[in-house]
Amino acid sequence: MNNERNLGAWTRALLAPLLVLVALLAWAAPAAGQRGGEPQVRAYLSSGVVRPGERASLVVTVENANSAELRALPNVEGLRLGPSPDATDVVQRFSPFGGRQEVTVTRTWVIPVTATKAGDITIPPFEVVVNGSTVRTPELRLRVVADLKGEELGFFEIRASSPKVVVGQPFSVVLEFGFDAAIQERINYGNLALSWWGRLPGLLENETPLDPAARSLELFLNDRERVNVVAVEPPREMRGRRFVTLRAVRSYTPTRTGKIEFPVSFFEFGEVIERRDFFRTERQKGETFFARAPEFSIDVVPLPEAGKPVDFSGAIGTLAVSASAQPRDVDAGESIKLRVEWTGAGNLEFFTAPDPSRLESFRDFRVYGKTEEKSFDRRVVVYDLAPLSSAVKAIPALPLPVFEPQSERYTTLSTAPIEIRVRALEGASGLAGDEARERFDEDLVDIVARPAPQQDRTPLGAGWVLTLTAAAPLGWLALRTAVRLNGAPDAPRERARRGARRKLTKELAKAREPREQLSAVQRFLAARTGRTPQDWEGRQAREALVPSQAERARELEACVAELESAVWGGRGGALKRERLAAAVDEAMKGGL
Amino acid sequence: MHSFLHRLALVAALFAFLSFFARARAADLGWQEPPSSGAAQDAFAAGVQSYRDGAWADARANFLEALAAGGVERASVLRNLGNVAYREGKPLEAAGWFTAAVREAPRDAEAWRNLEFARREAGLDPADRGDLRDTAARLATMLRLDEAERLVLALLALLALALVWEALRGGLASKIAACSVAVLLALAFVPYGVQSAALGSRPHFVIQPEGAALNSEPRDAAALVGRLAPASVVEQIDALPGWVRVRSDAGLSGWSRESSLLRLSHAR
Repeated sequence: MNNERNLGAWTRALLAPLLVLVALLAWAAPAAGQRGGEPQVRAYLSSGVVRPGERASLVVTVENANSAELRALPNVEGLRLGPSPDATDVVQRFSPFGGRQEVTVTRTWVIPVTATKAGDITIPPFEVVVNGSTVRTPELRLRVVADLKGEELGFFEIRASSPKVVVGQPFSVVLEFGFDAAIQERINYGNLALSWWGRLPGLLENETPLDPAARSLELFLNDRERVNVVAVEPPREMRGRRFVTLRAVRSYTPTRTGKIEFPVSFFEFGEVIERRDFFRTERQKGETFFARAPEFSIDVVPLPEAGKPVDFSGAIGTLAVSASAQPRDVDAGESIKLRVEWTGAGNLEFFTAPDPSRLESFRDFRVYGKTEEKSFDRRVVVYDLAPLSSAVKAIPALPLPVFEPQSERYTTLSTAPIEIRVRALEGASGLAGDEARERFDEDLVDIVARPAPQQDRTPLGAGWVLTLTAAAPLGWLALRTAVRLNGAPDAPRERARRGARRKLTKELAKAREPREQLSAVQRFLAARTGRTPQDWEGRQAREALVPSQAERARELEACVAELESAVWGGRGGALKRERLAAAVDEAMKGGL
Repeated sequence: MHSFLHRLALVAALFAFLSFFARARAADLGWQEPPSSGAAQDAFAAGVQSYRDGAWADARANFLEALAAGGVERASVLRNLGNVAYREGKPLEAAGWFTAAVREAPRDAEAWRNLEFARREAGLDPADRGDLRDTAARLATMLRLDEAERLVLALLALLALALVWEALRGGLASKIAACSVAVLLALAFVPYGVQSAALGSRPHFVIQPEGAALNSEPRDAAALVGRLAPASVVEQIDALPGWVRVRSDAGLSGWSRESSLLRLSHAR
């Protein structure tokens, strides 16, 4: 019982300092947030639409994995999958993010796929073991059609903005497709079969807003998702006919070097017949046609090292810059917000914005910080600057080294200097004109001319410190154990025994009658001996002492006898407090 | 009352015993009265005078002599050598001397100010960028080893008192006191541990503006295996006259010319 109470007390005692420690640790915890290379598994088909017997490929890629193994391929009715070949490893390097270079290893399996019958086929997810963990691929869909007719009734073109880009350089892919305007009345269904959509490794998709002025409509994407496209006006004229023309644009940023392969794509268009009865609406495909866009690839090449500026911070593209400052009429030391905006086709989200505090031209400014806004087509940085003196007449040009993919060379894109007026602070100098005003320079603090004598700071040594550190708890344990052999010192009885003398002093100070004094003494004796006050009525105080010390209780016994005579016999009155206190102290010296 | 006095006497005897040992140990180490050197004081005064006269080379020689003699406060001499190097147009070397000075006197605000100024002039990042990592590092090194040890010993004494209280009297208050002091002691062990770990290290500061060449062997004709960045701090592995074998944080090791490096912690 006593142990349990002790345990509870220790728990409560530990709680307060532990809470303080936890709060301190929480405050000091370093901000986590590293951009990690998580393993990624992707799978896509080289074509979303094939004829029976025609061969396609199922491409599986695993990035950033130390080990990867392809498990058994699923059995799919109407499809022959495999055999699965050995993986090929490709090491790629890229550095579009602030100039930092990273290395990625991509493992690729190209698995032959042959359709054996027509119909819509779903390839269920299958397992890839990546770094010892099992990861499942996404579900894939393949349409097998007996006759891919319709090439003459429609068209599908995919154009990349450039066949070769530099890593980190955004590029766009324009998908333009349509069908003969003569059959427009019959067409109420469109589906883009793009097996690569969202699944190509090494690409970041950029936000591509739709043209708000254009008429937009929604088409199926891979028969499941929806995608917004816009109608192109005027319609395209080809082969002596007019074609209803639609367009979708996607923008990407390549994140590593190598070749990006875009597989064959199809635009399926035709008629969907809707049957309605009282309970449900059923849609069934009627005759559909296919327009095919051939596969193509884009080479992603590394940034050239020749001519790369030392302060190149990763900006790539054809960019423009503008800058404005607010306010432009300030006192020396007052904050100016310099707003710099970079726009154009480039990796605006990824380069490191220039730091004026590192530029010699901004020596007359103090840079307090900056805030940034990033988007695909815009990068805005607002610098907080303060001119240090009234001699400053303009905010200097802020340069940004940029790699221009078109000219394949590095250039520097600079803002135009912005004229400002800086007024001297009132009372900052007693001199009249700006020219005559003193300039203050920063310099070292002067040398120490009178050093203190060298102190010998030889420490005691870790051995001693650790020995003493270990000795403290060991000594405590030993002392604690020894003390508790005679009982727990914080038990109520023991506390009462320790406080008995103090309590007696207080009670004697209040006592006026012999009875009150006698009761106080009996309570004192009870607390010191662990008995009840009644036990001490008519009992001798020497019983609480060892026999050899019995003489020390003589005076206390005499006092008690006198008090009892006064109480029970009516002889005598109250005793002097000092006499009683001295008698008690003498008895305590005897071990009471 | 008697038994309590007996216990108290026991504890007092234990403390007396421990303090006797501590004193004996300190006396063994010559901790009581540091020796003073008149030669060092004279060299220092001559260095100050040369500095005032603008004779940088003489000032450097005198301060180096005072540093070698060891009779004046080392942090002051190192700081003055930083000033001399800066006046000689060597801000990178000055940054090295000031780095050594703040290692000796971690709370010397003027030495820190000079260090940051010299680093700025040398085109380096601040030594203390004020971020969490630098702040934590500065907190952990704000006490010298002897100061950290004194703090630990003082807290140990307090802990011993709290534990004696708990052993003799028990109760929640004594337990809270013991736990609180134990937590403080654990925190005090952080700077002590950091400084103790650095005790045996021999760091060098690269003062060559173009970086220090790292050769595979201690001769100029040996293969160049790397180049240490200016202002980087490397650890000495070995030394030969005129050459120091060092290892960088990245694990690169080799021999570098002694003149390209500045030793941050001199003989203790």
